[in-house]
Amino acid sequence: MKKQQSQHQSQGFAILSLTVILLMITVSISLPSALSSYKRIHRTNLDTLYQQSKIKAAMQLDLYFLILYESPLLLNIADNCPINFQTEKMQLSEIINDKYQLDGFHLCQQSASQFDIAVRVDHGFGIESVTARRQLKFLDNKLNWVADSFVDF
Amino acid sequence: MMKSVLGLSLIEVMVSTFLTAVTVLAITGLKHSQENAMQTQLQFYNAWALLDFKLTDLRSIANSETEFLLLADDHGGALASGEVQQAQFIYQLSWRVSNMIDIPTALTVKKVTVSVTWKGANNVDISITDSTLLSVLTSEMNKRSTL
Repeated sequence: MKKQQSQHQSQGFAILSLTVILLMITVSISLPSALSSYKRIHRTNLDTLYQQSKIKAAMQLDLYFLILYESPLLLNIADNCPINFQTEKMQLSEIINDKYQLDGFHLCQQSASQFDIAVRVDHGFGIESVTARRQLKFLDNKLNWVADSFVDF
Repeated sequence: MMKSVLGLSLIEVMVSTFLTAVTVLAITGLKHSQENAMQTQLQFYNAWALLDFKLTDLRSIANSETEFLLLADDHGGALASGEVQQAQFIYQLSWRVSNMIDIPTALTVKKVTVSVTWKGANNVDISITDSTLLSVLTSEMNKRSTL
């Protein structure tokens, strides 16, 4: 009788042990998958913030484009563009920044009829930044929008 | 004595079932909430991408005076307003245009506000909006030949 009782006890113990082992295996398989999902969510969130920064930068360039129409003489004093595109190497237009109380307006001349304007916008909680550059071209004595490009830092 | 031994096994089986059920429910709940969060994030990301695409589309119009002057609410650009599919999501795209300068001048400035709306979780409408200023010189006399 005693033998039968201990047999049942060991069976019960075996059931519980097996359950706990199986659950631990399930949890250890699920955790890395949950972690990778969390990383994907975080990455998509950063991508969204980057997208918003790009839109913000392009809007600032629209504003600068408007200012260039208002003050076309600024184009005459623009320096040549650096070979490697970096806003630090571009001319910071102090006239525009002072007059319109704007920060980070960069202007340079790419060729005889082509100009670049650029602005730098921080994103990702200030850790990263995106620099938006717009190419403008004189066609029929009118300044035309050519293309926008973005460089990440 | 036999009865109490059998009862002991039953309790252990019940405890095992309970533990398994709690763990499976917890993992399923976590997966479900993560999937919802991922879907929402992707919807927002693609909505902003669509808004960016439309703003760029409207920006290119500023090179053509005639097209720019015809720019009006939900009219203008290559991408039409209404239902638009971006990735696996369906969005409603619309835009509003207002003249910033009422009196005729050499410079025409228009404020363009683009909106993207979609159905989120629980069929709730979610919308994002952004606006910018677009400008074009509309008088031949004022076109500059500074270079």
